[in-house]
Amino acid sequence: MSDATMDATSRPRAAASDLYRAVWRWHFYAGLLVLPFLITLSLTGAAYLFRDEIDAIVHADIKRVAVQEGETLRPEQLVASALTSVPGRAVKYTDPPAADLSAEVTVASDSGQRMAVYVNPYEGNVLGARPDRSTVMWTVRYLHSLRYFGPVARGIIEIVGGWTILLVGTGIFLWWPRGQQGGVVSVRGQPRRRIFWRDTHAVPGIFVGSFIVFLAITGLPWSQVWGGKVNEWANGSNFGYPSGVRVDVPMSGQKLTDQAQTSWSLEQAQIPETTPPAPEATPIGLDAAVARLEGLGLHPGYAVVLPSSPTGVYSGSVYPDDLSQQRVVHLDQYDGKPLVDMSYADYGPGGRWLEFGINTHMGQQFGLANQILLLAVCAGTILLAVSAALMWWKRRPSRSLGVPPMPQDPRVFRGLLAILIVGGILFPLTGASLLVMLALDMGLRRLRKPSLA
Amino acid sequence: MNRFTILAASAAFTLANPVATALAHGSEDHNHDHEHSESAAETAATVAMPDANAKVQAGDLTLGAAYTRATLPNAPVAGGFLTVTNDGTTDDRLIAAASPVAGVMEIHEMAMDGDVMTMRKLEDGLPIPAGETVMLEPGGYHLMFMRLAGPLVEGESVDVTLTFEKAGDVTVPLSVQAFNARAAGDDDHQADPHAGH
Ligand SMILES: [Cu+2]
Repeated sequence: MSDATMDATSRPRAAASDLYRAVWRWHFYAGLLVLPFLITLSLTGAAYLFRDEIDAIVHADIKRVAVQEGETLRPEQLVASALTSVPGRAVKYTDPPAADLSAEVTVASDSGQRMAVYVNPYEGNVLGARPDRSTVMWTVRYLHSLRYFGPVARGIIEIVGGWTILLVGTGIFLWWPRGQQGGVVSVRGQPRRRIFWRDTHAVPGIFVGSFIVFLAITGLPWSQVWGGKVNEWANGSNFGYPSGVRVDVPMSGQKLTDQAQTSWSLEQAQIPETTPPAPEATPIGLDAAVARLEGLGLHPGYAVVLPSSPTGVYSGSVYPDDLSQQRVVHLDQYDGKPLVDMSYADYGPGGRWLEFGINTHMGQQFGLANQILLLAVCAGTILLAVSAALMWWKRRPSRSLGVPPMPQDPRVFRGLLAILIVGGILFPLTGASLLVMLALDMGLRRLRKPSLA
Repeated sequence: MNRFTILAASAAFTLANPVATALAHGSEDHNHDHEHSESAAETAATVAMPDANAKVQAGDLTLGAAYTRATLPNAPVAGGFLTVTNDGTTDDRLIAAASPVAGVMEIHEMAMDGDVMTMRKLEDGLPIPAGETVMLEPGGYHLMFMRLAGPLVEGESVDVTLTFEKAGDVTVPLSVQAFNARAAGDDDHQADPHAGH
């Protein structure tokens, strides 16, 4: 039995359509390419949605503390305690985000490693130390973005993003009702029949698909080539700050993102410099800097990068779940005056939408509902992958890959090609991979022709 | 001059690595090597280190090499170190510690797992098995001074009262050594190129 007759049994009307076949073919290719990634993205993404909760459980010994009545110790005391256990230079102090969590002191240790030292804010005892950004959830984050596997892998994730959009687009076309009974919002047949798996794929797919596209689009800004270029273009002016922010101070050329986690829109943001101090000038110290930052209203859980040179500054920053609380303030280390003070309200409309998208992607925007919705999307994505695999398994011919048949009339490709070309130019890595896939497809057809004849 | 800057600068240039310390010393027993101790005192003592090698007897237990380290400015905690030798035939256990300079004192264990260090309170105290010497040293078991009343100053000495399950209470003076000291009266911490700056 040929692919075409098999197809005809499940979709009598569509079998006539060359366009349908072409779309199906590319849906198949896109799926083949991205399914393994969608599964790992779903698993790591689902876990990362609950990063604070999971890190607090897995690393309870260093992250959790018993809440005590009264004042916590001063930041300078906590930093001193950290340096007693891990000798080196204190780079950053991170305020405990909640009363039952430890403070984190980042130390450039004498042994050359950057360490995160966790300190009980009530008693000042060090709970533990580990290489910076080595917690379970940091590892999961790096697995999600494939950064864990180096720059080439990070390029792959970008291609996956583009192909995922293609996958959902072609999927919606295939789902589109063509007068059949069922299979639109209801599932037909039994698990042993292919049509059951087709419907189990198509029906949830139409619900999950739009979320998958949303996640792909809001994930792409983090990608290396496309995301990096767009970031430079969107955020490259005004020393990396939104255009409304006053930045008429000398800049160090150093980027904030190298010292502390920043938002996407602030990846280009530079750390300013204090004007060279008078000889007898004395720095205000971390305690005074923290008091100043808290006075300016920084949300709990802020990080303060400490000055590392006479012209350095105290850089306070915080990116809580509540977007409107995003804040970056650089303080002159000698008089404590804010040199640059940026909040969410300073982003332009584009930046605000983008940060909203990223915040939702990370499950932070709408609290627990956001986390649960995206968890369902992750589960749905895995269901789509499994049903796709089973569908292919039940349809596959005995001797070949089971690629859906070519359209009889190649002209139907033109509309599709136009979309792919525009998409390929906007997303160059995806475009390049499309060209490779087209070439492979043509090669495959050449090989298949003699056997079909 | 600002306190934090002093702290960061001194920490950056003078502190030894406690991990390296723990590895370097392994299971060497400084305590019982009298000659070693004396030569150590000669080479290391640029300032007087009271009681660095004094021994205190409490029943079957011999406590020695008791010291702590000068605190960094602002530090709210400090570690205390000593060796406890049990020459008796019954096991004992260190169950509590107290000092006039600390509001709270705990018995801690520092553990290394690769690059990951954790420090925790020993809720059930520290066993001192019969016939063995237990070392409280940087990178391992230690006493933890918490809620310090003030800084610990090099050259001074602080009293610590240890409570053992069998041997009872015993007060030991801990000499306050340099903040990079690796052992009581140890000679080779002077070999650290940064020491003494
Ligand atoms: Cu401790």
